[in-house]
Amino acid sequence: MIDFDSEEKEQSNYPTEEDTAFTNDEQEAIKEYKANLTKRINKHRSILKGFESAFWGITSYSFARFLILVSGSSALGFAVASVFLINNIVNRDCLDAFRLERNDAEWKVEGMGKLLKFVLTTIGTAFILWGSIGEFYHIYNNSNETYNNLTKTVEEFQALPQDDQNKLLIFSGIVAIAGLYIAIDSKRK
Amino acid sequence: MKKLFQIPLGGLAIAGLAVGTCCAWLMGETVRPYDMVGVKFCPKTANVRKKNYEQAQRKLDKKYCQYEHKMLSEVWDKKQYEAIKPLPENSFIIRNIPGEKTTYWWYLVSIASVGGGVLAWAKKCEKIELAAHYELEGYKTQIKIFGVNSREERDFKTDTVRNQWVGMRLETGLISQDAVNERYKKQSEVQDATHAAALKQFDAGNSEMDKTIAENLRDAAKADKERVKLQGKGSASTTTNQSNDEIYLLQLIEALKAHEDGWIFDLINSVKPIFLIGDMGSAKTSMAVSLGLIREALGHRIHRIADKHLNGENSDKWNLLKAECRHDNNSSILEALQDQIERRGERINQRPTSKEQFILDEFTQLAKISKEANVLIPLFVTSTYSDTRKAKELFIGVTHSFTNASFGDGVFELRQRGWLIEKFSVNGETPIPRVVIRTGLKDLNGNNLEDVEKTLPSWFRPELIHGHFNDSPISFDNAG
Repeated sequence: MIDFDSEEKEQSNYPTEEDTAFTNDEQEAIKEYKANLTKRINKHRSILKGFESAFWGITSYSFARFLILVSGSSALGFAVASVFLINNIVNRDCLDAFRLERNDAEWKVEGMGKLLKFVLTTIGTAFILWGSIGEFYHIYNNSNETYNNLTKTVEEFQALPQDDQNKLLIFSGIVAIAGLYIAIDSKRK
Repeated sequence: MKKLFQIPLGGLAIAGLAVGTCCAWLMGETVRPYDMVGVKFCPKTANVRKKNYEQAQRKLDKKYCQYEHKMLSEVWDKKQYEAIKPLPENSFIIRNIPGEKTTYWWYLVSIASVGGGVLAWAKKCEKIELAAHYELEGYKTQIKIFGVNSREERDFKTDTVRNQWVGMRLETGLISQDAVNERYKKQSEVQDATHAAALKQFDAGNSEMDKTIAENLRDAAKADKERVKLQGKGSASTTTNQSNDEIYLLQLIEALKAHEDGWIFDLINSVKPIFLIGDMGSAKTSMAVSLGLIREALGHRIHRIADKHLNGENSDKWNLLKAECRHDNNSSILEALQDQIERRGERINQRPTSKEQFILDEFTQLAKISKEANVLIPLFVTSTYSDTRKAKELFIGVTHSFTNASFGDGVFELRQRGWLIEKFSVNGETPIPRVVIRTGLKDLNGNNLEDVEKTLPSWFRPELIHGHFNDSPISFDNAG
């Protein structure tokens, strides 16, 4: 099989054999033909990459939604972990390619483009995550807040009204002062 | 051959993606995806028996019981369960709002659908790459065919036009017929000369190759000659060793012949099977190994030795023998016996010229190991007495007793045909030179002699015999 992809050239283990003799014109035509074929193949490969990205995106979204619908709040952590795990698996080559080395007091960075790609896909993942579980998370938080508010309402209802509490406080104060006065007065006599 | 129906992989891939997307974002969504509860706090007034009961209750309802608070039912249940002081549910009006849960399977469908789409497109890519390869090769072939065709056409047309012009020149009298003929003749001569030169080139190439082959053969012959010369130097010492060995062997044979009418030498040369019996510590194994060593020196290789204690207490003796096969456990020994029976049959058919040895120790208990062994042992004993001579096998068996339990039933008569030699020890540990030849010896008239008392010479020990052939010759004059 001819190597149509010229991105990675490796030393072949197979013996190399010259093709049948062609004239210069013929060679030119063959090269052009081959370039067109390579272009067609690369186009299909890039579409495949797009398909794969879509697949992982939809898988992340659908899986997270499925977990939330089936297991509720107990699956929140697992859903988040699974989405980020899928992101890491899909883009593992980006992290592997990134290198930061210090050489003679000079920082050398390799694979910055791929790191950027990873950052962008992670941001995309965050959106997918918010789309899949954000609504539920919001409802979950609101529910907690609602319950706490209800608890406060019930506690307020069960307590004495505020003006009654004030009256009781003033009355208790007067009684205490009167008692103190009687005690001091009886000692003086 | 072209297929009648081809799966539209591209269409499948796009359909998979579309269906998957729809399933994830449209089919899976519902109005009420989660289980909810709606709760209203509606406390009852304490003024039950008072006149203003209704007014007080209305006031409370207006203040608290107007609004319904919605929350996830799991949060409500969990909080109520976890709270130290749960909310009094009799003061609440609780309404369950169940979610529409049947749609969550669409999310799994979406994953499968898009996954199928990706696989379809990957297959399409693979097919396109393969097709591109064939297409390119086909294109090259087309170019070659057209190129050859065009060149031939050009040559043909050029020749035609040239010939036409030659004819025109002849007609107009610019050149004569003789000149034309001369020209063709010269062209033909050039072609012949070119052809002859090409043939000579081939011949030159062939002769060059012949020369190289001859040189290589000469070098190989030279190397062989030198190797033989070097080996010749080494073989002198080998020859000396060989002659020494022969001298030692002759000395040993003389000593054996000189000992008690040479019965041990007769025993060694006999093709009849030898069974050595005796108590523990009577040096049966030593005698077997000694006999084996002398036979080995006489040129009878040791094909097989079998002893349960091959690697145990007798290992130093057994290691003196250069055996081809060694068997040191019951299962291996039984397999060896089975194999030996078959080997004897094969050797009888092959009519071998050289003899080989088989030494079997600890024969006593073999028949008791298993039912299969109980069947195998009589077969082996029968084969030993009937086949070993024809198979050119020198057999030595060592056993504690000469009973039916050891040899199997029905072989008593056979046992009389071989050597049966009994050895003795004084206290179960120290062997003595005395041996009794129960069967095997014959008088001058060919009659069987039974229970003949004999002795072994003091040097008849495996380590001494082995040393005799390995730079420690026995001094037979001093030995008894």
